[in-house]
Amino acid sequence: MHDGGRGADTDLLIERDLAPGVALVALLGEHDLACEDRLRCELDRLLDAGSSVVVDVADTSFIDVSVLRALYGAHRKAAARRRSLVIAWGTTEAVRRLFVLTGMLERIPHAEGRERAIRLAQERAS
Amino acid sequence: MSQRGFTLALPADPSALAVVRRRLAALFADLELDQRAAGDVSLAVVEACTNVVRHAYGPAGGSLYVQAAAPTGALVVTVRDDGAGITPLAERPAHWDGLGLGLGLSLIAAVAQQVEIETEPMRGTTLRLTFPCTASGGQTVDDLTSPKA
Repeated sequence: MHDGGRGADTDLLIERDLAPGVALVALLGEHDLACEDRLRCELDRLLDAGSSVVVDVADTSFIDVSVLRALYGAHRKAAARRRSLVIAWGTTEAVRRLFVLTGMLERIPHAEGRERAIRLAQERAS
Repeated sequence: MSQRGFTLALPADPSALAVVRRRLAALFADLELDQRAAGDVSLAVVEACTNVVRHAYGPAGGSLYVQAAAPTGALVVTVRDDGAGITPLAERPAHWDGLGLGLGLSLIAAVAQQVEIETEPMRGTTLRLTFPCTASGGQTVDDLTSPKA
């Protein structure tokens, strides 16, 4: 499913069955406070359905603390349900920089690339 | 004379953040700022603007003012509002801690070379952020309408 975002510079790509037990949320473009509620709702919906979630930021050019707050909340919710939320890095440093600066790199599970993130999500949920 | 910078007056709502980023991106290109430095400035300025959008005004809303200027060797961004002012730490509700306003200000302090805050209850807050900038020949600019040489 390809859901429309709030404009040409931002979008959410959601796949409910990326792998057994794992859904995908790909953040495309820029995401900030304007996206926070929608992202939180989508993550809640996937976790409520019993999935673990891989959040792919390979094609993300910008996120802010508002988005980080939504991701961290979903991570905690997933952990409470014995599911997981894993960040899949791409090659760009811009998003990872925010995780480093805020200390979230140590708090939210992450992996290089989507395939590794899927494996980690499945391992942590098992 | 090269004049670099901009002044924006925007409604303090989430749509303003993308506008601010676009204006910053154009300025970064003009200043030939490297990617890491540009990313850090964007993070800090967006956090400052987000604080205005989230906390400065009540339901009636208000305005967000952003001014950027590039005097030699520095990039100075001022984010201002006419809102409630920043609540002293001891008076903040618990939910403002953790990933709330506190983290935003910590992030700003981590990436900016200098942070100056002026705040007065019900009269607004001004955040003046200074970043190192290696642009050559940059001059102070404070007006969006100033012609570019």
